[in-house]
Amino acid sequence: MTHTHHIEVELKRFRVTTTITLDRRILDEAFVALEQATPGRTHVAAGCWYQSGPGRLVRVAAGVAVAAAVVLVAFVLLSPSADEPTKTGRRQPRPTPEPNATGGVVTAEQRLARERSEIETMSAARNIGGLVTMLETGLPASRRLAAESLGQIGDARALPALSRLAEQWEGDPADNPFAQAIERITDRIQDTEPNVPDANEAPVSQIIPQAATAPVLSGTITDIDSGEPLDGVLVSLSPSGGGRVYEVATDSKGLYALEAVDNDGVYNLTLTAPKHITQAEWEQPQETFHFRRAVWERPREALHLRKGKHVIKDYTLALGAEILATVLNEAGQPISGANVYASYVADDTGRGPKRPIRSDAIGMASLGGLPADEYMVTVAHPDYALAGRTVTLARPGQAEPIVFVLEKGIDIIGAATCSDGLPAAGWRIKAEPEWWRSPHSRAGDDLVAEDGTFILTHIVPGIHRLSVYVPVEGGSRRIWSTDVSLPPETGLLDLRIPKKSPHSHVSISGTVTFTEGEYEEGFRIDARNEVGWSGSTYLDAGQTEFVLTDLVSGVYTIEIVIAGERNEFTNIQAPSEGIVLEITIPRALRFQAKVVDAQTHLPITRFRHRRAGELDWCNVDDPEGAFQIITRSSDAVKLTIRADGYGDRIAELPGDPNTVTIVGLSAPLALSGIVADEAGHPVEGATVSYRYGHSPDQLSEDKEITTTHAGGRFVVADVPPDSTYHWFVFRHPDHARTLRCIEMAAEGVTEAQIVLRKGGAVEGIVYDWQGSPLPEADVYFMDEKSFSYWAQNRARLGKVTTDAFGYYRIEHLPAELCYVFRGDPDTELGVVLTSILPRAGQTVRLDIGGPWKTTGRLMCKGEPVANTKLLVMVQAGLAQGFEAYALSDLLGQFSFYGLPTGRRALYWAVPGGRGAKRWFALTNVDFQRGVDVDLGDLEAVAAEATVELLFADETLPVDRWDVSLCERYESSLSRQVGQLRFRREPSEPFVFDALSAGQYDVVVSREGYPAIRDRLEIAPGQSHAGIAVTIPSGDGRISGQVVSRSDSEPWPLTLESADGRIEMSVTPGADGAFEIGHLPAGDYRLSHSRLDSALARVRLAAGGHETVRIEVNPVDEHGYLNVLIVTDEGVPLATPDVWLERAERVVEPVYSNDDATAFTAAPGTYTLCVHYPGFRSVRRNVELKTREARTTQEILEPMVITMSRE
Amino acid sequence: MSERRLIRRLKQGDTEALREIYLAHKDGLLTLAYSLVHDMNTAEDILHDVFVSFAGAAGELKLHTSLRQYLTTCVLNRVRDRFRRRKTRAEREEANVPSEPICTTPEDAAVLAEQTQRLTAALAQLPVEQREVVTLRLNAGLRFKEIARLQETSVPTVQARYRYGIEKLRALLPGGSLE
Repeated sequence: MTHTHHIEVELKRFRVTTTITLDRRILDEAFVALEQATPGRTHVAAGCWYQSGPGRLVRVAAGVAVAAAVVLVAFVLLSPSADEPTKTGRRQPRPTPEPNATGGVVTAEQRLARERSEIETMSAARNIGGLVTMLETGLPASRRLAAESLGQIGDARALPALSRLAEQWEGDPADNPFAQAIERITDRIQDTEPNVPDANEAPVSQIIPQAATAPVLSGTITDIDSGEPLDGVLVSLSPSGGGRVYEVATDSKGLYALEAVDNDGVYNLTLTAPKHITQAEWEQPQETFHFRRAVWERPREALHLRKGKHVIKDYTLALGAEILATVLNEAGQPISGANVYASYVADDTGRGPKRPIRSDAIGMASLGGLPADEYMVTVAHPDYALAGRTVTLARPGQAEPIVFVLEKGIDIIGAATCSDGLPAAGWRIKAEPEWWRSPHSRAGDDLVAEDGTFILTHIVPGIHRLSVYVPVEGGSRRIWSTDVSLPPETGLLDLRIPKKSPHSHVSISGTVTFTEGEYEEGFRIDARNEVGWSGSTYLDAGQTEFVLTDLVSGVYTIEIVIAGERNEFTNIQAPSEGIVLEITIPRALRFQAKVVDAQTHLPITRFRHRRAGELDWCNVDDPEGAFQIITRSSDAVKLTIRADGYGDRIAELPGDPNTVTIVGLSAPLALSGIVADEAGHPVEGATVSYRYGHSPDQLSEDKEITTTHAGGRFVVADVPPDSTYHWFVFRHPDHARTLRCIEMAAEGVTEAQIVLRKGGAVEGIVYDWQGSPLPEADVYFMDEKSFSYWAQNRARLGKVTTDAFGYYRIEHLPAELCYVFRGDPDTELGVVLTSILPRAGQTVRLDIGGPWKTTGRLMCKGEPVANTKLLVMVQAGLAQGFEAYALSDLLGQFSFYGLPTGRRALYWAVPGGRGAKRWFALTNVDFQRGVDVDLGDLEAVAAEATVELLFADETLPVDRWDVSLCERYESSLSRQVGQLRFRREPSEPFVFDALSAGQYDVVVSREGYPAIRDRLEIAPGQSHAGIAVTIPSGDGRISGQVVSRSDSEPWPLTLESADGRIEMSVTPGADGAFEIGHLPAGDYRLSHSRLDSALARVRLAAGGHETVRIEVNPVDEHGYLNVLIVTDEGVPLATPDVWLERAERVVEPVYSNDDATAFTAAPGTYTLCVHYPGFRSVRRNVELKTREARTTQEILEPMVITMSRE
Repeated sequence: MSERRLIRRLKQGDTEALREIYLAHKDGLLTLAYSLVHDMNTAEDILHDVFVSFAGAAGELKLHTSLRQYLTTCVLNRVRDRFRRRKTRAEREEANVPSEPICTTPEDAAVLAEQTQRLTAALAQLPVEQREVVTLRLNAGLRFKEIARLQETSVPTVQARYRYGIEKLRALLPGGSLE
């Protein structure tokens, strides 16, 4: 939670309440005022201003009276002393207003005033008898006042009268003044009861020293190893729905006790310990999906607390390691107030296990309770430059001292200009060193002045990431960031922000309406235009008007997710007002289920379930094993059900609310096996983990389940019975990681033999972005399964650090394609990602980067393009086996060091673009390892293209057409490009900015109409291109029926005209029927992407209607082959010419990248041909097999083709 | 019961309707008043004045907004009256001079959590306009548009005041002091 958000939440929570005295004072006077304002019309409800209520309230009041009687007896026996001084109200009662002349009413008012005065006198004199009389005879308001006075005095003699009145009370029980008085008196009696020590109960009184009643929650917190009690552990309880947070700390005996909570309900418990490991909120433990191996106590859990019910929770915590940071200035003097924070190195977002600590007066900050891990320790102080250092904590109890000497740094003056040429006034610019990850940065980022100037303070020279923030409701939003080398050579930092200035911002406002009901929760409204500019706002429950501010002009798509349903509103123009977004609320549905033993069919009475994607379990204790779920989504509800003694079961409750689904649980399956090495010797100490990838339960992957014992034996006792095949990962430090898919027997124990291989070694030198060997660099190895940039996955196969000469070596890598990361691809320069195919029993060399260079200059219309990122990879936006980045300097010059052999593209980052869309191809290059290349001047032209729509006749609608530009690729991997400018009128042409030279597909579409496809080419250096696309008229129709011989869902069909200009996708209904309209005359074919041959061919006359019947046996007719092409050194060779030949027919790959080449064609034998300059060409016979015919090994591992140099 | 019916009954002199209105809004309005003046006695006085005046004007009541907004406006006007009076007395010239933080009584201290005290003490240091916006937005739950109407200014100005208010609170409540 951000600090700003925290402030907002606290302010929202803040609430003060009136006292009863104040209520009485205000209402009494307000009633008089009302009478005067509405003379003759005032009618006072029975019992003055309390209301009559249902009979149940009387029973409650009777209960209070009984309780009061019991207390009274106890009180008499214990002979009380209740001579507490009366608490007076905060203020004296205000004088009663002057009565007016209206007879009867004035008398009552006078009487009220008199009685009030009497009560005050009696209270002061502690005249209990008088007050009790007033209880019996006074006006209703006076009775209430008397009851309050008696409650304050706390004299039990008043209890009988109060009990009687409490019983007679007919108003809201919460407002019953007599019951409240009884409660106060009994509280006072209990407070004054003598505390009789009971030897047998001594521990309880220790646990709860402050109260005579039992607390709602108590327990002890001890050290997991020594069993010693832990002092000063903070126990926080926050209601799951928000509200007051309760905190108690353990005492010297490790005891804690929370006396009471205001409301019954579910509370989240969090522990905070100075020296012991607890978890941050984001680290909430996710239990292993299927294997219940408790690694440690859950330090954060949900507890159901109820008044009067005592819950005992004991916790054991493990001792953590400690970082002892000393923060000094350059003169060696301590710096106090510096924020010291430790984040996990492996966490991309810089999250850590503990909150930041401020350095004290002697510059010390102790961060304790840290799990053994690698940390980036950062220090932020408003008056100094940011500092940070990595530290590895290996064992519990370790205290690692670090000294930080903070530099003052220098101030850098800059000027920020927006894309419309206006200063970025009011925005903020934050500069952080490129290695900075911590979310706890320095406060006081730098505000851009009206003239666009800003000052970056306390900067240490080096590469920095500049982030630009715009103020938004309640905080700020980062809109752009760029890497720059500071200080700039020219002295002044000229920052061109590719966003329009605040002066150009507009808004969208309107109302959300709900049909078929009210929506009782708040929801978020998100708007996004085609170039990714977004805005969002949150509407509280009941709020319907919205304003999306800080938008740029353009066409937006608004998205609202209500009850899990996504509601999208397209073509909304900004600026606009009075937009009405109509949302149909799905009805709440009830899904019912019953959990039984699959064999005996007897109900399982205690179990818990959790919905897919959620973290919290719901416990059920029902004699029939029944439970229900109420949801607004009509989709089937997917649940995991877990019960002791059974395997987890993933159950799906169908969307029929009248059905009770019976879920049978079976005993868990077991896997038993032996892990041995290649020589057949058992391997002890190998870990067994579950598969990669996300489980159906959406929980984290790859949890360690067990370890092999003597004889290499392992047992996994509770494999869930929901699937036949299970993936397991076996690891051992002296062997390569092994991934095995094991087919489980239908019941009982499945035996497995696992062979761990030694694998191969990889070694080499790591170079930085300027071609120098890089010492102390971390190199991560990741396998191909579930490739991701996510830092947690990067070290899946191992991690090494280079020595002082930049050398690294890693052993025991599996003989499969490994991805090698240096640092973070998002932020580092140089070669950040490459790949290698290790060889079993051998060492292969892989240098990451190198001393040879590829240089060039980025120019735009004769001007250098400075501070711009460049990228070398095969195709921007796709995950693949190689990435290298460079940054242009002030002269537009850039250098890449150590690009390996392969054909790749060079891209530059167009200002204002986001994600994959920001990369624009400059040129394709055949890079050669060890050869310097100068690419010369490269024109970074952001061309524009105009697409004009012409309509063949007047019957065609002219509005709501969408136009997109896609890169032309033979494969299906083309991506959308260009930034569409805002159009005010449907008649205006579509203008796309930020295009590079190349060939594009222009796709014109409109709902219900077939799409029109055309081609557009932008020549190198061309700054503008245009095309007119004619929308053909036509009212022809093709309808039909897909008859499938299997039970599978109807496949989506593609309709394409013979010339390829018209196309449309259509998914037949459940009955197989489909219809396509608005078609011009011509020849069409209906096909499916997984079938080679056309399903039907149709000749359509003008205005005609053709009917087709398609009989399809949806068996995949395709054969598949994956190929990995590597050099002699085992390094993947990027995009050689590769194709298949068979009987004069050539098959191009559907996907060709540097880490995989994939073919899809009719099954059979082909000749695979690979050609790359400087390498011997390869021709080899290969087999394309259908999905069914391929073995798991063939699916998982590509065919490796090694290319030898000539 | 719908608000309209409640008002109709109130205009007929129904004390029950007045009681319902009071109970529904008292805590919210007291919180608002307290957040703005940072003094419980003054806040209670304001709540008192607002309701007695509201009841006194019930015969002629014409609501163009929600009741909540109407009462919020009344509280705001009372708060402003008090600031104006105090300003006159102290001969202050600056419109944006923040009110001095007022020491809370021991009783208040017992009522308010330490954290909340820090927040409200920081709130008291904001200029009046910013404090109004922050409090009206977060405590009273008013929309920026409604606040703009109350402050007789534009929505962007209100949003800017909110932003600056929150930023100043951030500065006054250094990171972690609330955590």
